[in-house]
Amino acid sequence: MVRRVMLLGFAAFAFAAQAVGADLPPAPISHAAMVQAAIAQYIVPHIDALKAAAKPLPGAVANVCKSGSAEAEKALEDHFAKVVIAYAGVDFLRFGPMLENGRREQISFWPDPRGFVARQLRLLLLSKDEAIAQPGAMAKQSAAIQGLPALEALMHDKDVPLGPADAAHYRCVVAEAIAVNIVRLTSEVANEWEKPDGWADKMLHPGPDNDTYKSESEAAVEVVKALIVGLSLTGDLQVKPHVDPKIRLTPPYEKSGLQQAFYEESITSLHQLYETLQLESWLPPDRFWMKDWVSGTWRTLESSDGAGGRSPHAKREDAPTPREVFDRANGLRNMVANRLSVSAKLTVGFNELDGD
Amino acid sequence: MSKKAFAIACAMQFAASVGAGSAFAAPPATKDIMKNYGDLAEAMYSDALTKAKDLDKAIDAFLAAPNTETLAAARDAWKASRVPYMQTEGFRFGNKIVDDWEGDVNSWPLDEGLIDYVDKASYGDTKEENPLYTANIIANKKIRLGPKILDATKIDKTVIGKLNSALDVETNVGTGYHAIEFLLWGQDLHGTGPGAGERPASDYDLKNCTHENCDRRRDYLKAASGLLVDDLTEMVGDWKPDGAARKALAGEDENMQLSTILTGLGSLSYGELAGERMKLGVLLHDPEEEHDCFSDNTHNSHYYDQVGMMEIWNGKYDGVTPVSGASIAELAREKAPEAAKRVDDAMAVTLEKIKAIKVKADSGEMAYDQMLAAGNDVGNKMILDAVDALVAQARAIEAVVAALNLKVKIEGSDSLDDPAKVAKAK
Repeated sequence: MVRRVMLLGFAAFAFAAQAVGADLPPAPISHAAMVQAAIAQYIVPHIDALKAAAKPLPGAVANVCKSGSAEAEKALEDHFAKVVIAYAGVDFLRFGPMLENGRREQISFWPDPRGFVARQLRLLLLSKDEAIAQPGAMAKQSAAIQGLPALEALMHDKDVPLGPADAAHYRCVVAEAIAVNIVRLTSEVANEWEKPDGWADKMLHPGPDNDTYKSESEAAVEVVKALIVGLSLTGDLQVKPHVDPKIRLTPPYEKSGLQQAFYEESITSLHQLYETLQLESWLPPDRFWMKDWVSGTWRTLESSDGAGGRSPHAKREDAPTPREVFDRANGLRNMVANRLSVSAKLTVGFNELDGD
Repeated sequence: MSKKAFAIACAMQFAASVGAGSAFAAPPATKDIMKNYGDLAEAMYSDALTKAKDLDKAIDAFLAAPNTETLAAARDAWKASRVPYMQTEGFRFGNKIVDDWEGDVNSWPLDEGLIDYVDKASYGDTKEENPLYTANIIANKKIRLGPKILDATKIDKTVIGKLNSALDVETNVGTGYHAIEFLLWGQDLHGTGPGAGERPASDYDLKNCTHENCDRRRDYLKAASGLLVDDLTEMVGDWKPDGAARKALAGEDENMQLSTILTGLGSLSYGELAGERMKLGVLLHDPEEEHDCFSDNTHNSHYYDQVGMMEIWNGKYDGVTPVSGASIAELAREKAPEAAKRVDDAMAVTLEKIKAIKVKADSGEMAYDQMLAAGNDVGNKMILDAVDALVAQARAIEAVVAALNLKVKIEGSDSLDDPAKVAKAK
C-alpha cells in the first residue's frame, strides 16, 4: 500500500514537473552537443551524399564519349546535376578535410572572376598530353581544371562536344580523368571525416593535446563559422551580383542551368544546419523576438530562386526581390555572428573570406 | 596564533606572492597599449616613407642616365622599400582608414597590359572580365572608360590614379608598389622556371628607345614613384599623435580598440596571406599568382608580413626609431597566459616556415614561382606548410580574442542593431 502510494505520488510529481517543464524554454544545448549534432545530423550525411552522387560520374562520362547519344548526354547531365547540388550542401564546410590540400577548390573552383578555368583548360587541351590519363596525374594539375567547373566546360562546349568523334578524343581523355578525380576527392573527404581519429573524432575530443581544438567551444565555433561563411557566400556571391550590376561574376554552374538549384540547395542546407545547431536555445526571453525575425528570414530566402524569381517551393506568395534577399542573408549572417553566437557564449573569429 | 607562527605565515605568504611573480603584475592599461600601437604604426610607416623616398631618388638617377647599373640600383631600392612596408600590413583590416587607402599603394594582382606592352603570346589579347586588359596607356593617349574617355595625353599622378579599379575591375591597377615593380622589371616570361622580369634599361632611354613611347614610360614611372611618396606621407600623418587614424581608434570603446589589433593580425594571417596570396597560387600552380611576380621578391614580402605581425603583437619594433611599450601580447600573457603562449608558439612556427621559404629563395636554389610549380612536391609542401602555420596562427589569435572577451567585428547591415528597425518578416 505504502509503495503504491509512493509510486503514484512520484508519477504525479513527475507529470506535474513535465507539465511545468513544457512551458519552459529548452535548456541551452551544450557546445559539445552542438558539435555532435552538427557532425552526426548534418556534416557526415551531406559528405556521404556528395560521395555517393559522384560515384557514377566516370561511367556517365565514358558512356557519352563512347556513344555520343542523346540518352547518354542526358544521363551525364543528370548525374552532374546531382553532384553539383550535393556539393552545394557542403560548399561552406571550409575547414578540416575540405581545407586540407585544397580539396574544396579542387572539387569546385568557383567563383572564378579571373577566368582561370577557361584559360588553364585551354592550355591543357592544346598540350594533348595523354599522360593526364595516368592515375594521379590530374591530382597534380591546377585546382582550376581538376573538378566540376572544368568538367562542365567540356560538357557544354558546343564547338567540340564530348563524343566518339576524333576531334573530341583528347577532351574525353581529360573529362574522364576529371570525373575519376572528383570521385577520388569526394571519397577522400568522406574518409578523412569518418575514419578513426579522423576529423570528426578530432572535433569530438577537444583538449590541450588536440592540435586544432583546445576546447569544446573552439569546436563549436568551427561549425557556427561554417554557417556564417555559407550565408556570406550565398549573399555576396550568388545574390549580390543581381543587386549590383557592376559586379561581374558568373553564377555557379550557369552553363548547366543549375545556378538556381545551387542557390536553393545552399539555402535549404544552411537552414538545416542552423536548426541542427540550436543556437536559439541560448536566447534569454527578452531576445525571443529574434526567433520570429530569423523564421521570417528563412521564409524569405526559401521563397526566392536567388535571381529575382520565385522558388518552386516558395512559402511566400510573392517573389522576394534580390535586394530583399541580399539584405536578409546579410542580416541573418550578422544575427548569427553578432547576437546568437554571443548568447551561446561563442567567440567567432576569422575565416578564409577575410582579407581582400 | 603565536607571534612566531604569525611571522612564519606572513613570510610564507610573501614568499608565495614573490614566487607567483607576474600573477600579481598589473596588466597594461588599454590606453597604454593603444598609444604604443599608434607609435608603432607611425614609426613603421615613417620607415616605409623613407625607403619610398630613396626609391624615388633612385628612379630619378635611373631616368637621368638609363643604363643597366642605374636600373639595378632602382630595383634594389624597390626591394628595400618593400621591407618596412610589408611590416605595416598588420595595421590593415582593423583600421578603416588604412583599408580605404591601401588600394592605391599595394593593389594586387594587376592586369599589367593596362599600363604597358606585354607579351601577347603568354598574356593573351583579351580577358572577358576586363575590357581594359590590354589598354596600354603608355602607348595610347586616350582610352575609353565606359562612356567616358580618359585623356592621357600627359601622363601624371592624376591620370594614373584614375586607372585604379577602372570600370570596377579590381585588377585594373595604375599606382602603387606593383605598378612600379612592373615598370622596373617588366613581365616575368620564365613561367615557373628560374628568372624574373628582364625589362631593358633602354625602355627608358630617349636616345635609344626600345618598345617605343619611352618618354611616356618615363613620365609614368616618375608619377608612380612620386604618388607612392605622397600616399605614404599621408599615412604617416594619419598616425601622428593627433592624426586621423589614432583619433578614429580613440573614438571606439576600449574593447573595440583592442579588437582592432587582433582583427588586423588574424585577418592578415588567414584570409589574406594564407589564402589569397599563398594557397591560391600553389593550388593553381600559376606564377602570375605570386605577390611580387615581376621581381621574384615574393619570399621577402611574405617574410616581412610575418615579422610585422609579430612586432605588432609584441609592441616592439627595431626600426630607425625603435619603439617598445605596452602590448596586446603583454595583456594576454597577464590575463590569459595559455592563450598568449599559443599565439607566441604559433607565430614562432609560422616564422620558421616562411623563413625556410626565404632562405631557399635567397640561396638562388629555388625562387617562389618555382616552388609553386605543378609537380614540384618539395616547393609546394614548403608553401602549404606555411599556409597551415598561418591558419593555426589565426586560430590561436582567435583564442586570445575569446579569452580576453573581445570580439572580431563582422561588418554588415546596421538594421539589426536596433530591433525596432528590423524589417517585419512577411
